[in-house]
Amino acid sequence: MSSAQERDLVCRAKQGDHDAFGEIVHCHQQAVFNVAYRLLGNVHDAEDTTQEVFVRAYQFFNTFEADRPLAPWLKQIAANVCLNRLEGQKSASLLDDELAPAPDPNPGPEALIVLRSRDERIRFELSRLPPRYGIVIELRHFQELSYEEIAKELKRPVSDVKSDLFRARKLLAERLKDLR
Amino acid sequence: MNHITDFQLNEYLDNILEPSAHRAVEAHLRDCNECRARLDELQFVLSALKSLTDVRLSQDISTDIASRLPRRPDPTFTPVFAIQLGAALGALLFVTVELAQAIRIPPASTFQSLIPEVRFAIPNFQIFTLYAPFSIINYFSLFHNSLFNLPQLPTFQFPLSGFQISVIAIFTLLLWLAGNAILLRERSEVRK
Repeated sequence: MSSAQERDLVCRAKQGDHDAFGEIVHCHQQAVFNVAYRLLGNVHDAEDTTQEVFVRAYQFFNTFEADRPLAPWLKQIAANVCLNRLEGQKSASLLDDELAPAPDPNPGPEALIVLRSRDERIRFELSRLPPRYGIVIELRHFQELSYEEIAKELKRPVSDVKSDLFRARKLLAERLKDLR
Repeated sequence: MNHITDFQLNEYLDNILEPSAHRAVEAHLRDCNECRARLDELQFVLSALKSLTDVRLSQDISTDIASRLPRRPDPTFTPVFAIQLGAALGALLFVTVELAQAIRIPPASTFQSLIPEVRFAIPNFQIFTLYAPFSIINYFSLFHNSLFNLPQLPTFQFPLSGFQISVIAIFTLLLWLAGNAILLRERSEVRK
C-alpha cells in the first residue's frame, strides 16, 4: 500500500468509516500480531492482544496524525498493551509464585522437544524474559528504535534502558548457548 | 589485563562508542580471546534475533474487528469539543459585556458637542478610535465651510448586573478547566 493510499484510509477511518479501518487492520494485522507473539509467546494471547490493539487504536485514532507512518504507531501500541498485560499477569501471580517452585531456567531436552524449530526456541526464550527486558529487546531489535526513543516511549532514563537491554542480551546468550 | 566491560561490549556492538574508545576496544579484542568469546556470544544473539521470521496469523481478524469497534462520537462534536465551544462562547460573551460596559457610547447629540475637544485632545481611547477619522475630516473641511454629519449611533444598555457577570466569568473558567482536564486525560490514555 502506498503512503498516499494509507493516508486516505486513515482520513476516512478518522471520520468513522469502518470499512476503511477494516482495510487498515487487514494490512497491519500480521505486524501487530508478531509483536504480540514475540512478547507473549502464545498464539491465543497474541491474537486476543492483536484485536485489543486495533480496538484501542480506533478509539484514539483522532489523535493520530495522518502524515505519520501508521505501522510504527500500531507496533508501539502493541508493545505497550503487551507490557501492561505481562505486568498485570506478574502482579496477579505474585503470591502464587512465592508458593510455587521457580521455573526451570534450563529446561531439559524433553521440555524442548515440543519446540520444533530454531525460531520457536528463540521465541520461547524471548517470551521467558522478564517483561522489562522483553520490551527493550522488542523496541530495539524489532522496531529499531534508538536508546533515546525507547527511553521516551517507556518513560525510563536512557541509562536504565541500556542496562536492561544489555542484561537481556546476556540472558538470551546464556539461554541460547546450545543453539550455537 | 583489564577486560572490556559488558557495557562497552554492547556499545561497541551498537556502534555508539566514541571513535577513540571504539579503536581501543577493537585493539583489545585482537589480543584477548576471552573478550572475543563474549563478543561472539552477543553477536550470536543479535543475529538470532535478526533471523527470526514472522509468523502468519491463523485467520484474518479484519472482518471480526468491525463488530468489536466501539461507536465513536462524531469527531466534529465530541464532549470535549462541546465543552471547549461552551467555554469559548462564554468567554466571548464575557468580553462583549465588559467591552460594552466600558464604552457606554453617548447619544449622537451629546457627542456632537464633544467634537471640538476630540479634535485637539484624546479624552478616551474608544472615542478616539471610533471618531478620530470623522473629526480629522471635519477639521480639514472647516476650510471649505462644510461639516460632515456624524452618524447616529445607538445607545447600549446591558441588562446584566456585576454579580451576574462574575458568575458567568467563574462558570466560563470552570468550563475551560474541565475541558482541558478531559483533553489531558485523553492524551495520557493514548500514551498508555
